Amino acid sequence: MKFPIIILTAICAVVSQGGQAHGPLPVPLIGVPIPPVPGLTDGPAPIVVNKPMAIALGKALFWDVNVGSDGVACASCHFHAGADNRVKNQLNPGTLKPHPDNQFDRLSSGQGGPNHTLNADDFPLVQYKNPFDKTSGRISNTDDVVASSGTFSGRFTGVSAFSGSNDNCQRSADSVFNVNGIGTRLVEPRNAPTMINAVFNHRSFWDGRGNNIFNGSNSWGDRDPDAGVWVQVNRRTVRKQALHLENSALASQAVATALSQLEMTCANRSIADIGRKLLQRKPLQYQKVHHEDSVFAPLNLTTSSASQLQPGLSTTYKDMVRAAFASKYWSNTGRGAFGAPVSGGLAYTQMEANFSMFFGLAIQLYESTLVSDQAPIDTALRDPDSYKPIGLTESERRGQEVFTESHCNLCHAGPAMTTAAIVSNSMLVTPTPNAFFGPDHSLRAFGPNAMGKELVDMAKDAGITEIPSIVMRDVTRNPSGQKLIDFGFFNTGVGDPENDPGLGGVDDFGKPLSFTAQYVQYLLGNYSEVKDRAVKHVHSCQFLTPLAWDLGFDFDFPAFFTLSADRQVDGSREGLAEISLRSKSCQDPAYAFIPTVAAATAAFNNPNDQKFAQGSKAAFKIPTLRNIELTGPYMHNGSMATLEQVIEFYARGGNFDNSNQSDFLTRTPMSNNPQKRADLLAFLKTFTDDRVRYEQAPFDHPELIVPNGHQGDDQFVESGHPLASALAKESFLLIPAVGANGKIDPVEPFLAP
Amino acid sequence: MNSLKRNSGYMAAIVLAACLPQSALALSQYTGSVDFSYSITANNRNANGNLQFLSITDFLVVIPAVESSSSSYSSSYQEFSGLGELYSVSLAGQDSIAFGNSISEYFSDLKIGFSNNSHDLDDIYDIRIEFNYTLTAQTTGRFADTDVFFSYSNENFNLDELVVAHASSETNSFDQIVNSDSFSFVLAAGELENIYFQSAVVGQLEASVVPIPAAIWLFVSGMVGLIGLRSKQSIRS
Repeated sequence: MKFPIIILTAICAVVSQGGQAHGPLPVPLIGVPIPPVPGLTDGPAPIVVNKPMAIALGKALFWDVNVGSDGVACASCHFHAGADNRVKNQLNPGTLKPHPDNQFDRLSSGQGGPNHTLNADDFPLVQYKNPFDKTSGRISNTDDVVASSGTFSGRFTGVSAFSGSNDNCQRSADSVFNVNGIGTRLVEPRNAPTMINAVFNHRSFWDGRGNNIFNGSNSWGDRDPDAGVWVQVNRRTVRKQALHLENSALASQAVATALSQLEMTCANRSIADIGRKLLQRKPLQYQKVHHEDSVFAPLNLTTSSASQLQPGLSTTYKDMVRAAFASKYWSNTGRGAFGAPVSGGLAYTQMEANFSMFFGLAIQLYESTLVSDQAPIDTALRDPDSYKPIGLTESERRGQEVFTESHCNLCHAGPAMTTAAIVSNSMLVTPTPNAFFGPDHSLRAFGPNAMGKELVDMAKDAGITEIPSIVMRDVTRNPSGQKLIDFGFFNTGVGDPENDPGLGGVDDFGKPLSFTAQYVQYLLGNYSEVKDRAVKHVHSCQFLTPLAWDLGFDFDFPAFFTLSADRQVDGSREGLAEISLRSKSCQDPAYAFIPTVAAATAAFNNPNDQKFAQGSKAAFKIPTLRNIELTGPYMHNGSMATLEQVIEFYARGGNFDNSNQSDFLTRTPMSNNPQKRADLLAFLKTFTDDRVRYEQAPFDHPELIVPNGHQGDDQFVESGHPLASALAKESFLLIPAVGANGKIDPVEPFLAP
Repeated sequence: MNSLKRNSGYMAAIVLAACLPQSALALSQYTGSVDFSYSITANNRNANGNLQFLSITDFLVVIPAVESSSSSYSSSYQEFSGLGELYSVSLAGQDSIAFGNSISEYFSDLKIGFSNNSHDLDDIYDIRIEFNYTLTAQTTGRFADTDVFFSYSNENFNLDELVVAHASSETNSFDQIVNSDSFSFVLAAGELENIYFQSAVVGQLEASVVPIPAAIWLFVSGMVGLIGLRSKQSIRS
C-alpha cells in the first residue's frame, strides 16, 4: 500500500534531479486578493474608519522627508520603481558580520569605500574568470554591500513641532563611515528592495524580521509582550491593549525602518517623538505635490494647480489621523499615562504614543495600493487549458520554459513571483465559488489548477497548498540533504554565508528570527518558546520532503522519523479538531506525523542526528521578480548590477557553495546556451508594468529631494555640513513631483547610461 | 564720533524702529474656549407627580494641567439650583508668545449626579437634560495650533460623545462648532445616574525658529559692522 507512494516519490526525485520542468507557471497578478487584515477596516470596531484618508496619510508619511532626523524619507531608498538606483555613497563594509572588521574593500574598479561612485566595473562584486564556470576561479570578492545611504544619525535632543526638517541631534563623524575623518552618511547593510507588490510578502525585510503580525508598537509581533496600543475604552478610561493584526508585515517593517539609526533616525528618538514633530505640521511641508496626484487630488488635499505646484497638503497630520482612525486611539486629552521622551520634555499624548500604529498602518495601506498587475505577463493571452502565456513573443515564451526548466519557478512562484507571498498564493489554489483572476480574456478559476496543470499538481510542487504554510522541509545541497526552513526563504549562495546571517539572525530578545527554530521548540514540547502563534499550527504533511513519515513498515531512515514508536499524528497534541485540520492539503497523507517529544528530544540532543537540521543561516527572503528590469542592483547585498549578471550567477550554480544552499542551484541548464539566457532575459522583462516605468498612478508621487553622496569623491570630501562642521557637505538628487498620468521619461535600469 | 558714524547710528535707529512692528507680528497666540449651557426637566410617573426625592448635585473641577509662563485660563460656572433653569459653564484658555515655544493645557470636568432617593417603587422619574455648546478655536501668528475638546458621557456610556475643534496656523486659523444635544433617562427608586461634561483647551505655540532677541542682535551687530566698514572706506577715500 505504501510502496507506490515511496516509488512515486523516488520517481519525482529522479525527475527533478534530471532537471525536468515542474512546478507552478508564472501567472497574472490581476484580481489576486491582497492578504486580508481582519479588524483593520472591517468588523464591528475597525481601526481605520476612513480608508482613502488613511491611504493618503500613508502616502504622505512615506514620502515626507520630515519623518527622518536629517531629511530622509521612507521613499529616499524606494523612489526608483520602488527601489534605489543611486550610485554614490552606497557602500556598507559588511556590518552584519558577527565580528565585522568595518573595513571597506577596494572594488574591481580600483576604488571603493564611503562616497565612492559605483560604476559598471565594480559589478558583480564577486567575479569569476569564466562567469559561467565556478571552477574557473574567483578573481574578486568582497564582504562590502551595495545598499542605500541613510542618515548621519547622532543623539536626538529635540525638534521643533512646526518647522525645519532636521532634528536637533548631537552629531559627529562616524568612525566607519567617513572620508579622512569627515563624516559621511551611514549606509545600510542590505540592499533596499522595492515596496511595489511588497504587500504580498508574508514577512518583511530580507531576514523576515518584519513580523506578519503587527503589534502596534514595533516589528516583533507577538514576540514582544510589552507591545500594544493605548485605547480609550470609554470616555473616562484609557488602557494599553495588545494588538494582533495579521498580514501586516508592512506595518511591522515601516516602524522598524523609521527607527533605524542607519536609515532614518538619531538615537534616543521614538516614533512618538516623530509624532510630536509632525502632528501639527502640514504633510509634505517642504515638498511640492502634483495637482493631479492620484491620492491627494481626489481628496482635495493639494493646493497645487497646473501652472504652479505647491508644497504641502491643505491639512495637518493631526487632522488626517483624526479623520482616518477610530477616535478611541487618539481622543484622550491627558498626558502622563503614555510615557515620556528619553530626551526629556512633556509626557506624550495618546495620539503621540499611538503614532507608531498610525504610522505603520497608514503606510501599509498606502503600500497595499502599489500593486503592479499590468505587465505583459499579466495581460498576455493564455492557453485556456495549460494557462501558458501564449500571447508573449516567441523568445519570451521560450524564456518561460527556461525559467521553469531551471527551477526558478519553484521559489519565484505564484502571481507575486515568490513563495514568500504565502497567503495570496494559498488563496489562489483554494477552490472558491465565482472567484477568478487574470485578464478578462484569460480568466482562471481559483483552485488547484490556478498556477498550471500537469500530471502532478503544479503549485504543490513549490509547496503552495490551500493552507498557508510557514515552515517547510525541503532539500538542500549535499551532504546535509533535507532541512527545515521558513517557507519563502532560501540560501542561494550569493555571498559568503559568514558575511550575513540573514534568517539565521536573532531578534531584539535574543531569539532566532526563523519560525523554523521555534517549530523545533514546538516539537520538543517547549511551547513557551513558541512566540509566533502560527508556528503552533504548522502542518507537517505539507512539507515537500517529510519529517515524520509513515512508510507502512518500520524501517529507520536517518533523515526521517519513520519508526512508528517515534512518531505521533500531527495535531494529536492539540486534539481531534486539529488532527482533522492538519490532514488537509497534504503533499502526502503519510507525512501527517510529527515526532513524539521523546523522539524529538533524543534526535535534538544527538549531534550526529540531522533530522532537525535547519537551513536558516544566510537564507534570505525570496524576492518578487516583478519590475525586476528596473529594480537593480540585485540580491540582498546589491552585488549584481544587471540581469545578465544575475543569470550568470544562476547559470554557474551560485557563488558560495554551502550546505544550506537550495539543491536546485546546481541544476540550471543555461551555462552553455546563450540563446536560453537571452530568452530568459526577455522573459524576465515581461514582468515590467509600464505604469511603474512611467510612474503613472498608483505609482505617482510628490517631489523628493534625496541625499546623493557628498561633494568630492572617495578620496576627498569637504567638511562644513550645515548640520555639523565635522560632517561632509553633500549633493542632492531632485525627483520632481509626478501626477496620475506619469512622466515622459521612463525609469531606467540601474547604471543605465 | 564723526558725523558719518552719527548719521549711520541714526539710520540704524530708524531701520530698527521700522523693524519693531515686524517683531510684534512674529507673535504667536491661540485662544480656545468651550461654552455650554444646560437645563434639566423631570417628571414622576407616580400619579402624585412628586419630585421631592429627586436629588441633583453638580461638581466642577478645573485643572490647569500644563501651563507656560504666559498662558492663562478662565472658567465660569453656574451652580445647579433647580429644574427648568438654564445653567452656563465655560472654560477658556489662551497663550501668546513672542519667542521660543510653549504648550498649555486646561481641563474642566462637570459632574452632575442624579439620584432617586424614594423608597416608593411607584416613584419613577423621567429625566431629560438638554444642552447646547459652542467650541471656538483660534490662532494667530506663524506657528500656532489649538485643539478644543468637548465630551460628554453618562455612567454606563450609552451616552458617549466627543467633539473637537481645531485651529492651526498651517491650515484654518479659526474653527467653531455650535451644536445642541439632549439625553433622557429613567431613574427608578433607589437608582443613581451621573453625567459628565469634560472640556479641554490645549494649545501649542512656536514664535520663531530664530528667537526675536537673537534676530535683533544679529541686526545690530550687522549694522555696527556696516558702520565700521563705511568708516574705513571714508578714510581710504
